Amino acid sequence: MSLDILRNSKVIICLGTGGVGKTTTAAAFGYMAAKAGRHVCVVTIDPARRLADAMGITELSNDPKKIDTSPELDLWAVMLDPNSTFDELVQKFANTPEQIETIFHNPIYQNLTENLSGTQEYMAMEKLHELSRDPRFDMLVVDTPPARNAIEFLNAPKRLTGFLENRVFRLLISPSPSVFRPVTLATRLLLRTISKVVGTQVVSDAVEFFQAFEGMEEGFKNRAAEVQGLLARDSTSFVLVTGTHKDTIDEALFFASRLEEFDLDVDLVVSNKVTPEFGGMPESELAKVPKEILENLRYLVKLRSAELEQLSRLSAIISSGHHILVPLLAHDVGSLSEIEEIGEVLVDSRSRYVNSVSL
Amino acid sequence: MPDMAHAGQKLHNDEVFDLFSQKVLVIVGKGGTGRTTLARVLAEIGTRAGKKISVIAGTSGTYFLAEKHPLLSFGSLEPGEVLISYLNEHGLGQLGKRLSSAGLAGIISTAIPGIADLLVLAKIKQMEKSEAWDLIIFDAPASGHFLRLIATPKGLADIAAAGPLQRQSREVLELLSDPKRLGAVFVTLAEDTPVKESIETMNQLRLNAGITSRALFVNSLLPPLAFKSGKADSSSGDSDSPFYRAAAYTKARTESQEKFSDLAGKAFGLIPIKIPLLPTVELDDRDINYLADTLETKIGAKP
Repeated sequence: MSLDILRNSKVIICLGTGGVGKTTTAAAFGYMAAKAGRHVCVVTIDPARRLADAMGITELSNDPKKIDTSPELDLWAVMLDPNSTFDELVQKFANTPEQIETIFHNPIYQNLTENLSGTQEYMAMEKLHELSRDPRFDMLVVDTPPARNAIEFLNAPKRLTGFLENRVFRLLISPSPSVFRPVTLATRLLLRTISKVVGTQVVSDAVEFFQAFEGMEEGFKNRAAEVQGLLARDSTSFVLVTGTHKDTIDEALFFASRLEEFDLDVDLVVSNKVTPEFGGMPESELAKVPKEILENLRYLVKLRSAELEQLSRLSAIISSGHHILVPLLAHDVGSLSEIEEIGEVLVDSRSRYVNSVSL
Repeated sequence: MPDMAHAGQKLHNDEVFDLFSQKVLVIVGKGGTGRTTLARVLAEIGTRAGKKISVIAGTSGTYFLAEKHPLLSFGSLEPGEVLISYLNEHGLGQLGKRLSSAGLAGIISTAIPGIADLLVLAKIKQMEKSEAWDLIIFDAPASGHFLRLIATPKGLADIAAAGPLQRQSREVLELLSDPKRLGAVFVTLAEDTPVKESIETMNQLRLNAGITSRALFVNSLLPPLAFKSGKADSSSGDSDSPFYRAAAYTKARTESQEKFSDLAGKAFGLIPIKIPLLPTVELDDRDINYLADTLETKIGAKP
């Protein structure tokens, strides 16, 4: 096993934009770690249908399922259900059954997971926290949601707790209006204006929502702090997943700079779908090869060299040897055997991209 | 590789050939499929045809830099920003000065999911009414809110219920469902997941918002080996030679691409318009011109 993180990490978090093969990479890491004797759970949100089928996780559930691979591998997977994770948190932190009922029936609460950016990420981290205490597993590989941008993921806990502590509505639900009389007049006017613009229902839903959450913010905040602590552990590794296009590299660089602001390091970069290396253009064969075959290789060599030039920009964020290139397979990835194939590529020392050597 | 082997199959390619006949084109596709590239290419083709074009990005921040062109303008409509300015225009800016409009926007957009996206569409609708442009190319947000909003009847109904926005949402719905005014332009890669997601989205847009899909672009296609028919087996030469390994790779990739491209075309009832993969990772103006040359005749925009 040539990858340190498969041996030493307890948590591997795969980050990257949509469409770069993040879920496949996470599954492939999970597979190789299990092969090395670890007890692994791959945690994913919204994987592509085919990949989910391959792993045998066809529905949302917070219970990990064993992947149907060779029996000696202890490899599990779970497709997170952010809504029920949030429900569980509410049940944990609420004081009364009535409070839980009110929250569950509130339209704002019902919309929160889908519509407040960062909530799904928060729930993924929350589940991660829970699974990190599950005795069945000694390694978790997390496939993060395709965040619109990198900030969402790291700021997720702050966004949600910030929302719950929203000043506007803290004032609205203040139990002693007389103390805040001038504010109350202003906010009452504000309320009326909001009602005019977006309807009265929104206002009453919002007031009910914040009233119901009263007193629970602390629980959420403490929990968020614990999750942040988990991310900061040495045994937690961050893997950036990219494609070969300029925009995915830009995102990865941006992501790395954000991680740095949070005092977190990138441990590994995996660049997927790289045009394969075919081994140069042997002079001896040039003369006898048909023109179209020659043109084809010339084209692929040119494409690969343009890709490598882009990928070399990543050397700014990762030390040599911590960058893995996964070639684009001639066929699509989707079945378990293909996940295994990618896994083998990940640990193959020939996949390491050493920037100074131009292939 | 034969070109477009659709013999005997009835496809409504006539609709593709007047791609610019409606004023608003909404570009739909997963992240990384090349929406922005397509927007640039369509804008290039449109200006060649003398059209005044506005390209609108659905995200904030810098959009692509392109050659300055007197017929072309760029803008962005980021839903969150559009909602904040809407609230400010309606008197909440004044009142809410101390209580940031951004915080308020967060609550409102959670209470009425999709409201910000509706406002974006309302802006597009205003632009459509204006004489200033002949064509509006909307580079729609990758996924999430926008598609959820227009792809579910509930999304639209919820917003329509919210007071003064009722008229707005009715007019937006009219625009969305009028194939003479607006069409969706899909861009996908010829791979399993993006193709299946595109098909699903296309069906939802049609069933729930009456949006017509006008064109299907399949992007980043590896050029097939240029064999004359009957000679295709020359790719099975010395299997150790880089030349033949490369040829076998290209053959497998292009066959897979062809399969998914056909699958998409059949589901859409459109002939897929193929965009070749260029051996570069960052397209410059010359590449865009080249792609415009290649695609121009296929979308019938010649003046």
